[in-house]
Amino acid sequence: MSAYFVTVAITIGIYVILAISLNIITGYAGQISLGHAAFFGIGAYASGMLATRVGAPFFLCLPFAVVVTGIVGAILGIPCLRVKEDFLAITTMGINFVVQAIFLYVPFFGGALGISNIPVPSIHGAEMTKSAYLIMVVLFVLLAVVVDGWLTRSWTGLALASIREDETAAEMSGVNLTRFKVIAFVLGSAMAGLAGGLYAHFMSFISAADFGFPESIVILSMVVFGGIGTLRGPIIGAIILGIAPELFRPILDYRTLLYGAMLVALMRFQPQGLLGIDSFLTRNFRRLWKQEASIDEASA
Amino acid sequence: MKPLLEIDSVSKYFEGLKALEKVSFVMKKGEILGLIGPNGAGKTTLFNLITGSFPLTEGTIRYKGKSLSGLGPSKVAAMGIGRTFQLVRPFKGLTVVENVMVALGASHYPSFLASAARFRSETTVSEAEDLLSRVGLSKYAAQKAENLPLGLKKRLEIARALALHPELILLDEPAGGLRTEEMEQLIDLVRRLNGEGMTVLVIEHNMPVVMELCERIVVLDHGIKIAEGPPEEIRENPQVIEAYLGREEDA
Repeated sequence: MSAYFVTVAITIGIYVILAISLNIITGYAGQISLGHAAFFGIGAYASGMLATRVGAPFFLCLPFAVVVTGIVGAILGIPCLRVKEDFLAITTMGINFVVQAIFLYVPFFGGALGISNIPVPSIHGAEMTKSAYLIMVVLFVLLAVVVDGWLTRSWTGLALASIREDETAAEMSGVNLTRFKVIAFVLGSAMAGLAGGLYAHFMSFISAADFGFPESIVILSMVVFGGIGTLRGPIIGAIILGIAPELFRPILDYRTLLYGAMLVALMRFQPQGLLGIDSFLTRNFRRLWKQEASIDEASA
Repeated sequence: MKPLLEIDSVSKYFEGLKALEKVSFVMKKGEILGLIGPNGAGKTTLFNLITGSFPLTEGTIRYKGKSLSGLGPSKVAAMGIGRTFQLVRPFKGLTVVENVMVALGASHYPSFLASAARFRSETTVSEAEDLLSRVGLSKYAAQKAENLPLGLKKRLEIARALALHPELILLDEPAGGLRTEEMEQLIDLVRRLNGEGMTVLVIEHNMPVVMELCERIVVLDHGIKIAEGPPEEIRENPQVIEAYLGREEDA
């Protein structure tokens, strides 16, 4: 496998985890977030700094990143509990700018120089190859899928869905809004922190610029493009929108512009996304599937 | 016998607007009590105070002898008080059976461990199906709630309220917007639930429905209780007639 292919695949894998994690907050719990890159960044900085400043091994840094981001997610989730919809969008956007500014201006976080020389993880003293790293990322993607699958089948997942559908009716049905919104924020943030840790040790250099508002929009575009509120949606969205800039190199500089335009078009014509519940494609796939089944029956 | 619900000189002010002023009444277990009054009388406000949607200014609300103040809606619901809404609020994007399951989870939600369990277990599904059959929605179980007509949405809200295993349900204008035939079916349903021991507090504007359904009626006007008694008495009460029809101006 060429190094280029492996690099792109690792990046996409990280984006898949990010999209799945944002989908928990926005897709399942219905809490719009325009600041998800902040948690991606917190995970990256937590892991990168523990590795470079303390010299901790990768397999300690990564859980550290998950825990720290989960805790920060709970803390930053609290101001989000009192606001809804447009106000929540603005609050989360603000959180993104504040977190990025802290990384940029507080010397402790390396300022404009960011964090460099983050070590590549090693197993038994040998540095991990890129292919091995890809395998690890894929395993973490599978872990995210398993967590997602557990969540959607659990009472917690049902409670989140009820909050998404109608907060007042949810709490009158015994769902504690605060509790379950915090659970969604913590889960989604912690998972983004995992993606951040994987990113930091793969890039070996991170800076505040990697985790700005445009990055949040990229992640949200992936979720919406694929189909918000489903598991397949964010995965497909992250893969397609992750490959697209590689196929069309010249548009790379205009990536966010295109994603923004795409978001507008999707909201207007296909808010369910490509493969969301009841989207154009899903309906037609289902129809094809049924036709084939009936043809099989007829010929049998 | 202790009353099931005690409304004890309850007041609610919204920045100077007196929505409710020292309202008191009690409900016995197993009765159907009607709450009536002109628009803006404070009926829905009282519902919202009972369910803990916002704090009351003065007074106490006790359910089975325990004060409900400061509990918040999810705890009040879990204690066994179910409600429906004036403008229906089903979980639109969820299926009919899932709507009911949300409320069946009330006992699971307070614990991390219990709420991590799978919700679609055999017992939960059969319990949800039982509830749907009680309100006559069995054949719609797999449909999305948003696709139901209004009358069935109202039944779904009742099923969802019943899923809390309540001893008291609050119905906010159950007959509102329904055709005569649907209305009669709904009255039958409420009667049947009451026959099974359910205590019902109902807000209703449709007087024939109230008179037919309720054993006792409380009348509110501008936040004040102006009358309480059996339907025959309420119908003759001059204060009630005045509240509804307005005072005749002296020439």
